Amino acid sequence: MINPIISIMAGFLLWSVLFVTLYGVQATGCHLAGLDVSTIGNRPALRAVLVALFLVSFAVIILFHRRARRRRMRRDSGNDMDAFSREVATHVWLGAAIATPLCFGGVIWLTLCGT
Amino acid sequence: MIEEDMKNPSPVALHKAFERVWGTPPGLARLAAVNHNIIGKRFMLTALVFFAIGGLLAMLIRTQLASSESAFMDAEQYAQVFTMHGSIMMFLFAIPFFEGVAIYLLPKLLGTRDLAFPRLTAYGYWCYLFGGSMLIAALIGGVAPNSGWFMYPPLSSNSYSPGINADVWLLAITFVEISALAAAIEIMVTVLKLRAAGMSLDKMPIFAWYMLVVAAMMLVGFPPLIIGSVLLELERAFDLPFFDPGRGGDPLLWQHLFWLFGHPEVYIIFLPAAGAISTILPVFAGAPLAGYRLIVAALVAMAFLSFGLWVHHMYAVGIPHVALSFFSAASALVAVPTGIQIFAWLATLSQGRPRFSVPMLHILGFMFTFVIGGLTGVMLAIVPFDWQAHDTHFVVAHLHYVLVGGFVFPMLAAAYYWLPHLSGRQPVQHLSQAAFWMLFIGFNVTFFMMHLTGLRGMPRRIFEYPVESGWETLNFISSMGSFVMTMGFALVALDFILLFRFGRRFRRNPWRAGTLEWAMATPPPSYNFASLPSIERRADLLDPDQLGSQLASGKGYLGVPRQARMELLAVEMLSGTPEHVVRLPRRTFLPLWTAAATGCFFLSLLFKLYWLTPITFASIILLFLLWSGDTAEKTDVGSLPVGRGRKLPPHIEMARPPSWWAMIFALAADATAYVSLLFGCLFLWVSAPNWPPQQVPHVESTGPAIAAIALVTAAWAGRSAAARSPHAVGWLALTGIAHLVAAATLIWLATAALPDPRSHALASSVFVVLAYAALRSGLGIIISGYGIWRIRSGYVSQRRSVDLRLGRLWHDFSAIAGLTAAGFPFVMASLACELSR
Repeated sequence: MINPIISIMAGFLLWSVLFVTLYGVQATGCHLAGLDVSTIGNRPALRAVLVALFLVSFAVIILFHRRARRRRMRRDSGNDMDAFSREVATHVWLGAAIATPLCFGGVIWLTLCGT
Repeated sequence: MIEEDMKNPSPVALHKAFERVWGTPPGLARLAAVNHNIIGKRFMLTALVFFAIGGLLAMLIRTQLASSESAFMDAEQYAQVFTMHGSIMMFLFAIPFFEGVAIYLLPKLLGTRDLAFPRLTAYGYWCYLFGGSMLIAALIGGVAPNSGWFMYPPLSSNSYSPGINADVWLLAITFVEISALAAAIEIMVTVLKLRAAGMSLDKMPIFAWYMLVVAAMMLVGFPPLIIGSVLLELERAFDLPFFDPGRGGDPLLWQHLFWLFGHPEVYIIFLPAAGAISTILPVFAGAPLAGYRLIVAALVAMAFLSFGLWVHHMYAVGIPHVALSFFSAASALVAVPTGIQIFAWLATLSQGRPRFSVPMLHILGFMFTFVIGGLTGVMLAIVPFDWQAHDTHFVVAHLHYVLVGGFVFPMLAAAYYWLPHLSGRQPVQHLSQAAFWMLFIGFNVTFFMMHLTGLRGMPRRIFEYPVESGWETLNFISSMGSFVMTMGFALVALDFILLFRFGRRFRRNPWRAGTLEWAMATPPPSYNFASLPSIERRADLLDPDQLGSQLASGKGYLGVPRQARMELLAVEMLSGTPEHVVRLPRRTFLPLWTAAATGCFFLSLLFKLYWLTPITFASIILLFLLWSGDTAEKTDVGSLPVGRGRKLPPHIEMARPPSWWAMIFALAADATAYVSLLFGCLFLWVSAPNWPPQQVPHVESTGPAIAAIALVTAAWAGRSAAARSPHAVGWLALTGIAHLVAAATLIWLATAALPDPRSHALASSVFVVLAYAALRSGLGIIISGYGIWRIRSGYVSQRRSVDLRLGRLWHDFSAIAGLTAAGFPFVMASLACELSR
């Protein structure tokens, strides 16, 4: 069984990893593309990588949220601590699921390297 | 002897017996105090002194800006004044004040007698006092920092700040940060391990949840600033060009490292204040806190989101649109968990019958002010608006609405609420309401005007403005408001003095609260509880009056002092089941001497007395080693009776005592600092101009391979030593030798095998990463030697092996971090070659 403290943090922990990964991939991708601003607006490979990362991570977060919600609905061990951690974890996963498309959805259409 | 006299103790006899063990006598012995009551009050009082100094500087700023083309101060004086105002308020007032509140309150709220590491608390206080005093001395000497409280290079670089002003900031603030990191570790271990029996995580008082989250944020938030400060000081002192674009550095690296700390810092300051509100408001509402679990979830969300918006201070530096969108969205989103808390407080009010006492008045003042600050924060989170308002007084107004609204008003509410606890007296309250209204009106007049001057284009940090700018009237009103606000603070101070002098005495729990800090005499005795409570309900829904009498008569755990030892109960982290007895060290002057040595270390760097630096560093290590004797045992203790028919082992015979968790958290902070450093180096590769360098470092694989083998050997031998305790001298000797080989190789690589670190940021990055790994191995040698000494002195047995297991953690971490350091020159060289292609 996962430590309840870890399970409470897990949703936004994954969100943070995604944040750092997307920011790092975007910055490194633009760096590798060079400084030719006229061409870097359309970097299909970089956009594809970012969009794929975003979609896969979003799907994973949604899956985990659904799993957390099912666990919360299904299990009633009579243990307050258990119920507490499951409820808080479900809220946190929901928060991460909402934050993910709002924060990272821009990879689909926004300028990747131009300032 | 004592326990024999305590078969059927009266509360008075118990009090005297405990006071003999836990109390601190007056006079010089106070300098040796480690008790959390004393240290917590010292933190708060010192922070208030710094607040007064910072406030005085604010008055100077407002006097200067009250009229156009003012001749009150010149540009240099003004730069020092506004830099010191910001630095004092952020680093010397806000953080230390809530640390003081937490140090004083947390053990009481959790139902224990002290924090996990009282000497560390004392050491943190002295570091704070000495570090803060360095800044104030510089101000008096006319060499105060003058590059703004966020010290952006190149303004803070040698070219534009040639004196010691910037060095004072970098070194003194890093000195003070030691205190913050110590407090973070202290708070986390205390909340997780030293609660009342039965206090599972879901039954913790909500303030403990807030402080747990804040401490975790501090643990991750402060290391990037420390690394940034070290790098900038290395540039200033030794010309390593991390921020010099001419040699592959980038001033933006500082901004990233600073705001990686700086934005979470806002929430680090706000959350303890919000925790105080979540504790106080239900008491005055007469209803339990609504949405306890939702609030915990909101806290976790806020903690993470607050780290995802550091770039919102850097919108104007030229960042790709898609990256801006990440930070802009996160900046707006963080308003949601904040809103959840505000709605929970409103729901709590709506469920009860609120009493509008003075603390509530300040809470309402907070709500009004903070909501305005939050809304302007959302405005600034939106990139196009931020571009318009960037670096104007609008931002100054916003941050004061957030910080004064989000910290000062709640802390005043907390002060009015808990001062009866500190003083044993209830407020007379003749001045309290007038003081509040002067503060509230003065604050809004002062800072609301700044929204307007900002929108009219007035930049921040200018020491004068022309008559024709049209800003003079608004600035004058703003300055008048600031004087009213100052009078309000003076009234608050007078009100507090009157409370201590003329306040009404009370017996217990004047506010009819349900938390454990009221289940004791007030002012509190040094040991808090004569016996430790066991609880079955959430810790803010208790009956302190009934509980207090039971505990005072020794009907809880550890109700009899034993062998003149200060003892606490440690619990299983999740369930709160009693797990072991923690035996605390006695009061000692060592924290004071160690902090003094640490101060000498920083002063040697400040005055460039580098010959003195290794001596002071060695004396710090030596003094820390002297800390180890007090709680050590030469024989296995076995189980100790703790009352209620239970027996528990002492902490030194446990697999995971508080010190084990402290080591885990310290390593987490170290890891954050190290990752921040690696991030910085890679950031330079990605973003800095003048890459690649003319001379790409070429490293033979022999040196790094030797270092890697030595580090792996050290970790393996360290693990073997811990497993074979106490027959581990040989293994520890091997650990030390392996660390010695690793450190020597890494130093050789850093100094002799690579290009001059002053030539380019690439070389300096590799130099610092290798030197950091060598430092860790150097400490690994000391830890190994310490282990050998402990075994030879008889302090280690199969059961008492915590020293060796702490060492094992260090050796493992050093190996992992050192391996990445050994590979780092190759990574950077290949990345630079990629650029060459």
